[in-house]
Amino acid sequence: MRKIALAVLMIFASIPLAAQTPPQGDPWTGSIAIGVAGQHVSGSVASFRTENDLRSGLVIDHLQLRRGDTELVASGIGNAEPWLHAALRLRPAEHWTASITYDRRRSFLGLSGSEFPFTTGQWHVDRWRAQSGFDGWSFANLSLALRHTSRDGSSNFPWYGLNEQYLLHRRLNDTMNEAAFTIVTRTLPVQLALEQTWTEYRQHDDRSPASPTAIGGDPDLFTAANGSRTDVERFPTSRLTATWGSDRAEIAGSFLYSPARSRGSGITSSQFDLLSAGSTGRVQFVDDVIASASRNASAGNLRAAWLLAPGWTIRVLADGRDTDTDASLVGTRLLRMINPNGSSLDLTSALDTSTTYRVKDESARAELGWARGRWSAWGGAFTAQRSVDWNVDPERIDVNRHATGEVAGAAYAGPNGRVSAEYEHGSFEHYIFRTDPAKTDRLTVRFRSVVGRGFEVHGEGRFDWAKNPVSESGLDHSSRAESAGAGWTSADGHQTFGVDLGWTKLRTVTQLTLPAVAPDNPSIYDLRLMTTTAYGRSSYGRFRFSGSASRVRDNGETWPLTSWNLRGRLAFVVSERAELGIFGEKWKYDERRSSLDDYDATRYGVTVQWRIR
Amino acid sequence: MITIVAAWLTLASPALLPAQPPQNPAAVAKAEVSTVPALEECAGCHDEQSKAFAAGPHGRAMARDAKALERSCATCHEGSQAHVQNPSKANIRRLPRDSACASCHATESRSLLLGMPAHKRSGVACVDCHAAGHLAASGSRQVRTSTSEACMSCHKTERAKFELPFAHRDREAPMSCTACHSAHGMRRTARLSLLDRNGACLECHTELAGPFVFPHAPREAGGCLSCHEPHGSTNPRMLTRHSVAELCMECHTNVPHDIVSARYRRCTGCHSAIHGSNGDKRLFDR
Repeated sequence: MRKIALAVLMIFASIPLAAQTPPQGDPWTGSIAIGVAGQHVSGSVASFRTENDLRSGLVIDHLQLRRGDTELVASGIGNAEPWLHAALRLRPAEHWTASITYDRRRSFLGLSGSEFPFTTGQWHVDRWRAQSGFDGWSFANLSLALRHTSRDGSSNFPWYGLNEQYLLHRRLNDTMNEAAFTIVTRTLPVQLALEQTWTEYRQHDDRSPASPTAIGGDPDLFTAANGSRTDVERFPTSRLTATWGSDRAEIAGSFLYSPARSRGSGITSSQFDLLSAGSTGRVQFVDDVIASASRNASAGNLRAAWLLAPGWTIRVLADGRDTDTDASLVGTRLLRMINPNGSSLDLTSALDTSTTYRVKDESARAELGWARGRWSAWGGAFTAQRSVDWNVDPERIDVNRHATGEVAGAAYAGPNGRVSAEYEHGSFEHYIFRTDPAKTDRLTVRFRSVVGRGFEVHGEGRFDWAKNPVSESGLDHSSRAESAGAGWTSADGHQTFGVDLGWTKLRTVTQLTLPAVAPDNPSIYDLRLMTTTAYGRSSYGRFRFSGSASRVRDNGETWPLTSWNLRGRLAFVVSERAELGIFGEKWKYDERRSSLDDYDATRYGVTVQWRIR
Repeated sequence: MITIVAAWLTLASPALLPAQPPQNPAAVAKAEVSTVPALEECAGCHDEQSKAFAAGPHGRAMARDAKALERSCATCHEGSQAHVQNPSKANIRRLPRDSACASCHATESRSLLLGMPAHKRSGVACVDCHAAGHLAASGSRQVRTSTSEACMSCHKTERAKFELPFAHRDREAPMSCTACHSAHGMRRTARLSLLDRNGACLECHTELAGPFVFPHAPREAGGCLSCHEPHGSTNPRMLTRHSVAELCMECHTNVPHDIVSARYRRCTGCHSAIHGSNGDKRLFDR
């Protein structure tokens, strides 16, 4: 953190100090809105926090200050909202830009009705970013960005202990630091962009039992857990992008290379008390291992388009990716058994395992496109090659496969709307993972029309069919996403009212029967969402009103639910510079198969806004 | 890192290399056309728009090149010369063509054709998402509304998914649509493409970047979307199925457990290092 802060200071120190003072004649302009909010939640408070995590308290609704090229924006400062954003942007000298951005996101997890009622957590992620750019050279622009991200908090989750699931508590303590340097040429016939980043991620293990008792009712007690392990990952990334264009052709290509290294070392241990016939024995597991892995990833792509004749374009795309990972785990694993009488027995095993994983993807696609007036059509073919070579002793997968496919589509874009359709078919001859679809057909249709007088209708459909032979996996997978909607907006500058109706159906059927999960039916993920939104904004004299109401109802087979959200805000313009407002919000969430995570929440408050001119 | 900054200071020091005013060939070429009306002429009738344009981001950027600013109205509004002679709605192009935007924003325009032809084919114009220079924009980069609202006005299925209980719902920084997607089809920058694939996810979920001694193979080959639905799900972990067992057992059909028991249906209750483990090949968290 100190290094980051120092680096940020150095960036800003690099800018001529005298130039950091805004012009004397320029006044500050902008606005600030401060509010205080209260709320009441009935039902599951934890569920409301998981989905929204709003609280009572003070909040800076927004802050925007500007003077010359200097701008400060902020929102969410305070504890009432889970996010916070602040940014300072300035142009401190001719040809220089600089900015500092800070984001904070608070998260909470606690659901009683889910399949993991024991998994809970609360944490926050802080993100800092400082950026500086220089465009004073005629031949290239430069920029430098520094990022620092940290995650703090804790989580409890089921963990496999002594032949049983126990609850482990882990304090989160992660940091990520990154520096990125970019140079983009301006005057060369071929525009080149070189980006170089250096990233380090560091995670410290800090664990303890969240509860001594096993989730499954086993009498043995989870009495201790410790970790001194630190995992560090470093991955520099280099990328070169080149683009060239003329009246008849455009070509872009890029190449990326990232050699990543990770190393984790330290001791982790856990301890269990064995209870039997009134006496207590003890079992300890102590791992002292070093895990190291190196991964060399390279990726490249080439995209080109030629204008063959007026209206006719040929487009070629080629992508390649190669990731090669070698890893090893060495050290000792100790099992210590302590009898009730105090005697103990140590069983030590040495670990020396190595793994390799290599995946290589190559693909190419060629398309011929035609466009005239409001119509366009395209068609083409693609081919792809994937090879996976995976070795985790004693398992070994070494498979290559080749896929081919075709695509065709057409679109119309008129003054009152657009409609498009595309069909894609692909297949391959060898499996790598058994659930990969052997043949896939995909149809996408979309239309949107502005009917007039404020009315708009739209529709969208995406249909996928994938078939696998019974001999391989027996998966007959289909997925469809359909949505349709209509909206009306009346706007005359002072008043806006509108209604949006939407219907979306998402259904994935795998034809895989899971006796314990769905005894009579194959695995289905089925959502049928009906969304209704009404909104309005109006002003009358010194009063301004805005509000919205939205209802989501899911009638699908998977997890039907209904949720409501109402928002309203009334503001009174006190003077040209001041505005006083009150707001209210209401949420209602109802899962039909369980009431454990249902909630009903009301939030209200006042805001004061000043305009600075 | 300190070394990088020091190198940066050396490279970018204005004292070492004399700065030159930026040259935009398209803007210069247009500025040399003396027949188009100047901003002051247009302001004679459109005073409010002219002032708003000059104060807005386009105006401020063009102010660094006085000639470009002077001819800025004609850059976007075709037919301006005839319109000055005979002011009429019929002889002026009210909304600029994409080619007008591309005269300055050439890179975005080029990538639209090469990398994201779907937007191009569907007739999505620059001004469908971006406000013109003299209109107030509520989003960054002169987007008409918030970035997410602009995207979701067409992508309704994704909009519906965001209404599900568990979603990347903030919709604004740091989780707006453009945090993961590139609307212009430009390839992600190196910083975001940490591994080329999964790059957008790992931007925030860096702890899952690996490499791991024991990776979860489908994740390595197929990426995060093998299991996760990033827009919204009924599963708290944003999986593509409602329950963990339904998802895991599509691949792992021959598990050596009695899955009638609820404890064994919570697969990640034991296999908690599901993204990859540095301690156990069964993906236990050791």
